[in-house]
Amino acid sequence: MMNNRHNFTMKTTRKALTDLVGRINALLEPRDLPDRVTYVVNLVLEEILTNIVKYGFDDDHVHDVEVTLILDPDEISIEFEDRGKQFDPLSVSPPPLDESLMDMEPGGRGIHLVRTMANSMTYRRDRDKNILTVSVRHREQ
Amino acid sequence: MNITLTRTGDAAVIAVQGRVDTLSAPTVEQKLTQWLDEGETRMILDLSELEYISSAGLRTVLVIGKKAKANGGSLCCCALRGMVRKVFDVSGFSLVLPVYNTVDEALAAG
Repeated sequence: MMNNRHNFTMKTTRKALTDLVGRINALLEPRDLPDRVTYVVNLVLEEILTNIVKYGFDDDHVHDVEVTLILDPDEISIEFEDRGKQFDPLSVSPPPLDESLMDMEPGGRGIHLVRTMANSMTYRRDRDKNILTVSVRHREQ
Repeated sequence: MNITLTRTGDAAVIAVQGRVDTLSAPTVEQKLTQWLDEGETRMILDLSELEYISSAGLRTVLVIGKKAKANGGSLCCCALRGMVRKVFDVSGFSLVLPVYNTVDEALAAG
């Protein structure tokens, strides 16, 4: 069987987040993926993990997030598992697009970017866990 | 990430190269704020060598765009490529900020 699943346990710190993105990029590099796929995978990792690190937990402790990278022939999926507060990113409404510069709010664009750029996104709450899976296809449909 | 300012007439052409992510966005914001505070009013971001921008980077562009406008100045972006352009489009930034194809076009727009 092809070794196409890679599991990582990330601590909820900025440093660990940057390290993980670096490790996953090193794994992807030899695969010569289209620019779009590498870009979107980076965006998914950064936006989802930053959200978990910043807003996932109410206490100041360092927690673990399980990240699984699944490399299939025609798509890359990333599964995120955390025991933080219940949060379904699919429930967030997209920011309006027709505001003027001065009205535009600086925050809350990450989730919308991921939803728009990735090919699919599924969320479930399993007991005390948030389980989010985001997929990026190699070929745009 | 690398950020450099080149003066052209009354405009500050600022080249932002590499990755603007959660890690580097604060440095970009600090630099741009410093230049605004030093009196730059017409800022042109040359993004021809920007490889990656996330929502943290977009947030910085928005914050500086607002500050420039509040100061009576302006901020525009030019020479966006590939995925960076797509990110600007889907996030609505191309609608609220002037975006030009080249630095020369941005300069000519006055």
